[in-house]
Amino acid sequence: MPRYHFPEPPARLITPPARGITRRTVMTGLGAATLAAAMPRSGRTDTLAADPWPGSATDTLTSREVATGYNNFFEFGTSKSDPAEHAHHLNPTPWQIEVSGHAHDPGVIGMEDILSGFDLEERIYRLRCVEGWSKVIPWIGFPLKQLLARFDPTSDAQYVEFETLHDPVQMPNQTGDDIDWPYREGLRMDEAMHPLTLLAVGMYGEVMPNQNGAPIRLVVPWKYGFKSIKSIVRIRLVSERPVSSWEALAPREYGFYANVNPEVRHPRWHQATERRLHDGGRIATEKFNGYGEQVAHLYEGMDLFENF
Amino acid sequence: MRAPSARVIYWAATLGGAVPGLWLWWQYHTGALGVVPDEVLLHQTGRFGLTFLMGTLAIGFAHFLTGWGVIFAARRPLGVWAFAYALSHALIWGWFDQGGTLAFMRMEIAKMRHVQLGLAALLLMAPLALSSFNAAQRMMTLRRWKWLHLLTWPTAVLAVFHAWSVARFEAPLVTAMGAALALMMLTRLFTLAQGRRPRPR
Repeated sequence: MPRYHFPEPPARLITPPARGITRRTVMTGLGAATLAAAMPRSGRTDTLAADPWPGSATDTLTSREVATGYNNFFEFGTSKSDPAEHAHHLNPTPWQIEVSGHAHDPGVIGMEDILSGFDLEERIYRLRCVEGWSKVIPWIGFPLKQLLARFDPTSDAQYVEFETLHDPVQMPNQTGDDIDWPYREGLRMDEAMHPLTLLAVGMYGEVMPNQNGAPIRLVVPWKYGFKSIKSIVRIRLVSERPVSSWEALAPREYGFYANVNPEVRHPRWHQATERRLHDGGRIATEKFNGYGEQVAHLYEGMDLFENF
Repeated sequence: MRAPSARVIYWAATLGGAVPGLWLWWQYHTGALGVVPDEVLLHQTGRFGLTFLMGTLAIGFAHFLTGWGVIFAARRPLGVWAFAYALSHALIWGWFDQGGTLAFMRMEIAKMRHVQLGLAALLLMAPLALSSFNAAQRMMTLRRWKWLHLLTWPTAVLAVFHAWSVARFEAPLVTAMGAALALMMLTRLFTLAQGRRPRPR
């Protein structure tokens, strides 16, 4: 059903002439812009340069409006519009990630070193939420394995555990008990080292919006979205399989692997189809979210119904 | 429906029932439903349907409390609106949520409990909506008409269960609705039992 759009009045009918742009406002504006350029960046709407990546998905992109206005980020509330509404409390600058555990060279890396130390790529990935909706997003980032290599993992590093920032002032819903904060996620080492596993620092040509996990988040395109942990502050290289937040909350419903799989249903709903936002209608869900060629070998011989 | 107050109540319910739908329609066309408006349409029409359905039952309960019989004039329009919103809820589900793809709809109906519950409720409600005119009452006799319309109760049970299966963070609200439904049902049974007793003259 096509939506009727009411005619939009031109700007000149809304803006009184006194508020219009004159030479004076342009000059004042230029002054302010020079001043702003001299100050440290707030990082809110900065553009990010990145090289295109040959493996990008060719699906129609989800609009930036939907990608940034409809998502789950329980740290800001449980409804889909809460992240966009409340994420302004988050201050992603300065930011650092602490890498610890089984590494020869554990330590801390600041966001500025991350941005200057890795070649950024623009990768268009499909993102499938466990709830049954999906998006196609142009992320900007670099493979997680490049960051891990900096810290030189030992052979005892079998799994990687991630943690989101825990600060109820910046993340207001952390005062609630929806989740045992901070949010935790984990990957097996071979999943973490897979070339598709991305650390994203931006999307749609700009730095990561707060509501999508500023300033740095994980993107694992063949797994359900909740595996792609946001606003990461800690990475631990461990020998035991970590327990991720949703797995701890409802082990029957959310597994550690959480690979997209149309054959393995969630106890409360099936996973055979997905709503492609907005508005690609409903489509059939593909195994490993269509990345099977690249990742299926990771799970050879594993019972995917058992290890869901 | 001779009392003027009954007429006022009847028309208030008949016209008032359109307000939530018109308001939703307006918001949809002015882009006030957020970035994924179809989902809001789906959820809101479902909420309206359930609310109106509970409203029809609440009329009897209000009568039990106040003894004011004139409010029964509102019951039929509320019931018809409940069906209208439930039907639009189902159509929005089929057209928007399922993208109009029959194969997907069939699969959802086969696999999803909440879809089965909702569909069952809608089907139970259909004969009630179709018999919502005076001639129908005369054709099937008032006695049988009233008997048929007891289907409202199982419909409400199914609808609350349907809402409860999809409610996540609104579960307490739906549970409260279920409790209210149970209370109204008990009251109805109580008045039935009272009615059977020979009345003192």
